[in-house]
Amino acid sequence: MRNNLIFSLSIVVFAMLQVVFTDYLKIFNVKPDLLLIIISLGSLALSLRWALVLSVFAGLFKDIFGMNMFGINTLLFPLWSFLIIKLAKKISIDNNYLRLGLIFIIALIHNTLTGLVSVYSGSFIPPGIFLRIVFVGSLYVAVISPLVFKIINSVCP
Amino acid sequence: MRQKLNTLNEIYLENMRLKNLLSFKQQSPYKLIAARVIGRSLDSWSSVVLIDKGSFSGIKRGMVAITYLGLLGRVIETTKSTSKILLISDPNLSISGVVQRSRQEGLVSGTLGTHLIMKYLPEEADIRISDTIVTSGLNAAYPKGLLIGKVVDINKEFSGLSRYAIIKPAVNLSDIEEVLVIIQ
Repeated sequence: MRNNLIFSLSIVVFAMLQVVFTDYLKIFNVKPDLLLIIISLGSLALSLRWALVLSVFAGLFKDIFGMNMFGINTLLFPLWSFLIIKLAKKISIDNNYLRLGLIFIIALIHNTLTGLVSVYSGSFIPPGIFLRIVFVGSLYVAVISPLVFKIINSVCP
Repeated sequence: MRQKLNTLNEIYLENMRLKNLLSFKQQSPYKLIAARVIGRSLDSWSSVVLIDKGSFSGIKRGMVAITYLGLLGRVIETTKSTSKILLISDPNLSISGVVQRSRQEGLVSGTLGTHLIMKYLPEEADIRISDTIVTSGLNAAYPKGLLIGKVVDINKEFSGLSRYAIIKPAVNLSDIEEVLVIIQ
């Protein structure tokens, strides 16, 4: 129950950070997806039902405040949560490097899909910029995920 | 004490920005509406800011947003009390620009980064580093002579047929707090 509350609050806090501060956290003009990190970490710590509820909430928030096609994050975030939970039942994802790799792969697929949706919905994104966002963005998300995990861990040991 | 000092410093900086904005608004030939930035795009796929004024204040889709430093972008969506502005750093926004010194024309587009790109410059284009780029007025949406930025680099296109210039925007797009929307 405490974990559920901590992750619910974390989503609200990181969503606010995502709206207000990610412009200052840009690396190679790419912003980190803090919500994707939170839902990935939440999926490793919460029950399936709670992870899905929180990821729908996070996706909805990102869709409301984002510029991409509405619904894409609301659809993809619970999907990642579901797949992480299913994978965690089959193999142990306790190793930090394994967790980092998993978040990188999820971020890579998520960024590619949202980028493609953006392109197909009429946005013009040059190939160089597309690749930069997909690869640098995914790597950035993976690299800062241990830090986010540490912050949550310090609040909820 | 430190907290108080910090608050006073913040108020002082805000006061300076608003003073600049007000003096620009008074001198400007356009009818302007001042608004505050209340949000930014969440992802890296677009360059958008959300402002706290909408159709209720007279803002409509397609209107141009500026600051006292130069061109900022264009309104793409409005609600009663908020509007979304697509910044010039977004590749979906292309503006007809002109070199102020030589009147050389080109198309200025965003790169989702800190710099803009001015494309379709002929091989013999009269353009130099540090040249000022302003809106050409060819597109009726953008008033003529709005400052876009300064040329920081000039290169050849891959095909070798034309050149392109890298432009540093006059407005620092990552820390805009107040904007002006041209309504007339």
